[in-house]
Amino acid sequence: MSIKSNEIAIETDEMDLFYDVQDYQTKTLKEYFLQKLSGKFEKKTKHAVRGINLKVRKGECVGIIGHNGSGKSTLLKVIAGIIEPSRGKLSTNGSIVPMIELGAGFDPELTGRENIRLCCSILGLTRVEIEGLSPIIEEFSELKSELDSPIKTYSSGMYMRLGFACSVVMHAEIILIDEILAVGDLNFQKKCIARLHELKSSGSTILIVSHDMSTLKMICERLIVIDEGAKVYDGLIDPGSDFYNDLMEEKRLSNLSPEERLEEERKTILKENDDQAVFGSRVELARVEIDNKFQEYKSGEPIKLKIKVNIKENLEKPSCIGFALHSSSTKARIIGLNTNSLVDSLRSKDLKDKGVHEIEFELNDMELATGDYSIIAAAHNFDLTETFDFKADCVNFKVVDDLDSDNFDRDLLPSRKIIQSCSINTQAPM
Amino acid sequence: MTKRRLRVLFDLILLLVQKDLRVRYRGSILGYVWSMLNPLLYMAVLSVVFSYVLKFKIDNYPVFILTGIITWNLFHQSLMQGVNSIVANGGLIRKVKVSVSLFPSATVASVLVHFLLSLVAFLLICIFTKFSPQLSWFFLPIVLIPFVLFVWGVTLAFASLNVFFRDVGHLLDPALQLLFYGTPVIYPLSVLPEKFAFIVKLNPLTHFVSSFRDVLYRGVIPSLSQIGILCLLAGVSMVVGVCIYRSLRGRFVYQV
Repeated sequence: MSIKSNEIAIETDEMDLFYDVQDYQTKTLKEYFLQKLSGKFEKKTKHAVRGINLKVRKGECVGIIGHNGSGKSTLLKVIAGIIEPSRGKLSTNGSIVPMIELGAGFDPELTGRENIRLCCSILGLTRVEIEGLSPIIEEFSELKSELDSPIKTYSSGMYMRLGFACSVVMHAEIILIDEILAVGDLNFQKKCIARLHELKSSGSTILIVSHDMSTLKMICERLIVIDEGAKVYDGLIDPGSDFYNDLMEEKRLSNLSPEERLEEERKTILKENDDQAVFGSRVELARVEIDNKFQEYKSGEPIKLKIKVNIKENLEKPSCIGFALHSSSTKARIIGLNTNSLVDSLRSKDLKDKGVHEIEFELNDMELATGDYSIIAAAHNFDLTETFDFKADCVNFKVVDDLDSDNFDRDLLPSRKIIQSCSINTQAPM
Repeated sequence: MTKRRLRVLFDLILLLVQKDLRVRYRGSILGYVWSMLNPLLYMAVLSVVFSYVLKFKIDNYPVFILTGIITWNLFHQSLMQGVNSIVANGGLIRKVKVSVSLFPSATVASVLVHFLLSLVAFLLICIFTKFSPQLSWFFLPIVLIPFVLFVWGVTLAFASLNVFFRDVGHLLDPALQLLFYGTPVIYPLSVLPEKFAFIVKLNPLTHFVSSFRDVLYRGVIPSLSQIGILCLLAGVSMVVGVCIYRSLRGRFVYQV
């Protein structure tokens, strides 16, 4: 697919950046000269950006993600023109507003209004243009009367607002954002994201660096993953998000000690086995039901749960059948039990032989609050290392507590039944 | 460079100068008056020391010394403030694409504003000491413009070097102290014996201070050859300053 060159906003070709690392490690003068003379003078070079090839079309919104120190911010700085690439080509097409740090160029002694002018001027606006934009920026920042106090008196949130307002109000063709969306309160954040959408639909190209995938998903459709300065993924955001999670998981594992890694690997294998197992091939959960056909209980009423299992071959050790009761709304587990725990009351051979077996659990004193509940049933081997069959939400039922029939607060336990007295002492000592 | 870009740069320098003046005088009662008062106080101290204690025989010594001081101050203040101007704006340089030469330029511009304000002080002293106005005053711009360009070149060079060798900033103060006495600011060139005068004449500042003094104090219109020397000095300083700046600017961002 060829793209016309005037539709490209940012293009890089095999772009590299390396620089000497500043080393403040103190050396004695003697050591310094000895090293210099013997030619052993060490100069550490950091290769921060490695062969980046990038084409961003006008109006595209691209998220850049990567672990700490992966070079994503440096990449943004190179694109912004703050740092020159050491090798390769970079061409940008259109005016750029970098939001690498908010409030770049702010002077603490100046008032908010004066700082708006200064900041805009640094970002490349003429005086006339600034006069026109100032009221909009002032409005966007929501600072109102504070605008005439020096910004050294501002809280950090107010400072950020002002900075963000300055950069986001001006209409730039390319906007580069570095991890600054966590600004201000929730409402201001929403406003910022709305503004970014506005800019996007008006044709601005946006590049955002962030650690927060959910923010990126809100704005971007394309994702670039940077690892050790190189681009390792470039494509749609949803598969990119999985790619990034896998990458981070890999990194986490490689940082673990050997013992921890073995344990992790064992868990993964177990999980994979579970995924591949064909449920119900040896032992099948044939039927799970409760004794109330209207599927509605009064709070405290006993519940009888029947699980019918079809054991298709004779087993060496008895199978273990279990269930768990969850709240449907919060997914919180309330109780759970399996036949191993009740082995005294069952003869172990009962769940060993081929044939259909029925297990009945009786749940007494189920003092639940009003709400919907569901049951998960499972059949395992005796040691619980293998799952024969598994059924999620196979039974759903309702519980009604007469004392609080709408359960507005979504309690799991009927508060009014449990707490029946409450005394107030008006003369309590401090 | 497009016309718009120049416009933006010009507006930005203006704003930076404004900011510098505003921040400097915010909270002081006399405000801008300090720009005038400062050289006057300096003049008063030196006048007392040199005309009463050391007994220099010079007509209207206060005016003589004031012309020297305001000229010297333009150089001294630009350099002292300018040498740190790039380092001090490091935060900005690392975050926004901005022409770094802007900061030393804005320093020189704001010192120039102080210079113009101190000319008001000069006028006041002239009135006070009954020093009659001179026709040669109109030739001040011809001397001032090469001087400002000279100062700009030197400031740009030192500000750039200071990013890589912070020693420059520390060395500058004593070096300027020495230069002050090596420039005919408080004494006329004529009091020096021939062999010292030769050394002092090698100092480019001598030419500028003498020319300012010709125009403001002696009432002499500078000769063409004199102006030629000033322009040459300004040219050399600018070329050296810009060369040093250009060769270093790519690495500023790693060092500030």
